[in-house]
Amino acid sequence: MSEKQQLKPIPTVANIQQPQVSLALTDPGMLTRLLELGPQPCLRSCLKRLGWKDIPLAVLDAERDGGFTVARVHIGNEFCERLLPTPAQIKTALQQTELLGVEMSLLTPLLTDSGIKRLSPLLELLPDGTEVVVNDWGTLRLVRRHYPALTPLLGRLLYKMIKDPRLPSAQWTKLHPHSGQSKPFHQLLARFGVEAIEMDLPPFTQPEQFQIGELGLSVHLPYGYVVKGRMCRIGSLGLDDKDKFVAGHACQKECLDYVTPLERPNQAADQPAQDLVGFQRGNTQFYRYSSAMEASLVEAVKQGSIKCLVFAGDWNEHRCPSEPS
Amino acid sequence: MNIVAPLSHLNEIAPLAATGADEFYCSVVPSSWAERIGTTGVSRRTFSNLSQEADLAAAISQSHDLGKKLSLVMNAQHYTAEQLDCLLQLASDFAELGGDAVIVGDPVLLDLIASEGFEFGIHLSSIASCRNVETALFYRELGATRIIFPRDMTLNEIARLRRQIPELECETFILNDGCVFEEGVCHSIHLPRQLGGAICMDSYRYDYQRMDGAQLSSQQIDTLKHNDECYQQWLWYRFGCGFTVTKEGYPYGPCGLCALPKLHASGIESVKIAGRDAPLERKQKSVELVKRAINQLASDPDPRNMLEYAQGLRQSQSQCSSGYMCYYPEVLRQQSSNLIARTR
Repeated sequence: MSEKQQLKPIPTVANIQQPQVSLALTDPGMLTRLLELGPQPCLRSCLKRLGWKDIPLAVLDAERDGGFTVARVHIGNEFCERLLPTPAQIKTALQQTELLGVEMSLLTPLLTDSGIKRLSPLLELLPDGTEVVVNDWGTLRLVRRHYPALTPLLGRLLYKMIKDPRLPSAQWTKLHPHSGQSKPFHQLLARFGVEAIEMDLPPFTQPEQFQIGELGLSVHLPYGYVVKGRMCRIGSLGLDDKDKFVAGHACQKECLDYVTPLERPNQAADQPAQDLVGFQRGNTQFYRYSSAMEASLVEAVKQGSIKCLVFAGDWNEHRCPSEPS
Repeated sequence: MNIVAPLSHLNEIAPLAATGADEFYCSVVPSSWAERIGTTGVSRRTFSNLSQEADLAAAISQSHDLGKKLSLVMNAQHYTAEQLDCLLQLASDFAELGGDAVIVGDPVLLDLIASEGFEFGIHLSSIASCRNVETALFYRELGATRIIFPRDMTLNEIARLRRQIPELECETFILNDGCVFEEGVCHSIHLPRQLGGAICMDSYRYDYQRMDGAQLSSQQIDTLKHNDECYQQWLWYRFGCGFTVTKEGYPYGPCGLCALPKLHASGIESVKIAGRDAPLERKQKSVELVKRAINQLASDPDPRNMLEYAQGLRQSQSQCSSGYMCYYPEVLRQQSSNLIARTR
């Protein structure tokens, strides 16, 4: 072995693993808006088409020639099985992602048996190696047993951590510290062929939260989810009073039409809320990362700890005209 | 059907057993955990645990003397490696004491405990959000012996799932303590009241906007306002109708009594009463309420009669008729449909 071969590579910006950039789209139809941008579109243009005014993680975007390039899209939704795409939507999405020259991941939520039944035909359509983000241990079992050529990732509903945007101090997060460094956790995932996980940034993000050993790490941004319900407040809008807020209720997918900011105006004067900015979309409450949280993510990217940055494409608090300029 | 009752003090065992409880569940913070971890987060609650480790041995012993079973709860959604280590020791101690089952929500902990081959049962906590057969099989393969279904499943979902996993015991919620969101995927903390309390009860102001940028029409504003008023009403029911009780002391709030015939027909072995935090009187009245309904089921299995009987127990048609107090509101809706059909 030559002296050159024996030397360890010097950690430089060039050999630090750069994260892949993905765009999460609950509505697969949004891909149509991106097609005009041509293959491997830049993130900035994509987000503009989806109604964003400012790009999250702008510091890192600016460091790159031409900004971030989208290399993947996450299709689907992690929070409601009623938002599972149809087989026709998946077929179209596969064609469109090919035209865009990007890879596709399928996002899946917590599921009932009825949801599992609707998911299986979607999995049939996915090419070998496609990433499936599982947020239900049963989905993981299904994928491993019946679709072993697909690649499961552990989703952010199953990667547990305290993410309450109202916490007044980091002390509270110590009640249930994250388990990303736990060896038994890694062993369980390894047994089920899971080599990567997805996460949100929790309030008071600590550097060690990006250190999860050999597992690949995808980070969603710029929002974390706090809690989701099975019953949906806005999804009950069109129902008779007696049919509202019951398990498995129908809906008109009002979550696609409405959003609400979340504010706590009634906090006691001696306990002023210092909450992260929040909003509710459908059955789920989200918070937006603070600049300090984004800074911790920037640092983690520079350390090479992040495999993929997943930008919230259409599931956000932006009011987006249907025909963006 | 077994009644599974909450326990937080030793002095609750005898009266709850006498009232009709068949199984108890409780939690404890062992001294080793307190020393090493420095929190009380063994089972997602900082209070309503047995006051000391020695109480666990006494609780098992007293329960067994009365012919009842006792389960130990360790159902945080996740644990660190150090916490898992502490809990494995607790599980080992529990096995030596002859405890009957542990209630676990974290698959990693469940897997570790199962691999030790303890003789007690392993009950999957409702925290694990087991809503489909694949998930039940996942946990069965890890070592679960009973599935405690999460809140807010339909009776049909429960029946279908139960049929597919005949080798597992099944338990469902029957009374008290609703959860607004899904507890198994809730990453918040029940903060002290002055900091906002539970996130689902916090005083958020809603200000709906259309995603397409259009202004809300006056009709949309009215519909949204009405929906929010209904939601606030539903929240009140979910939180025990302000923790009110009947003249006899029976609690209002989330209830599935009229679904007992269908749950029984589905093969559900155990029904759970929530509320470790409640005072003994509320626990006792809860057990009494469920026991009376189960006795009624034994004497008259007709579901229509159970609906009438269960509503009569609280002597409050108006509370029941809203449907917002129900764990399984489809029973009420079915009854209404039948009535309409008969009228026609």
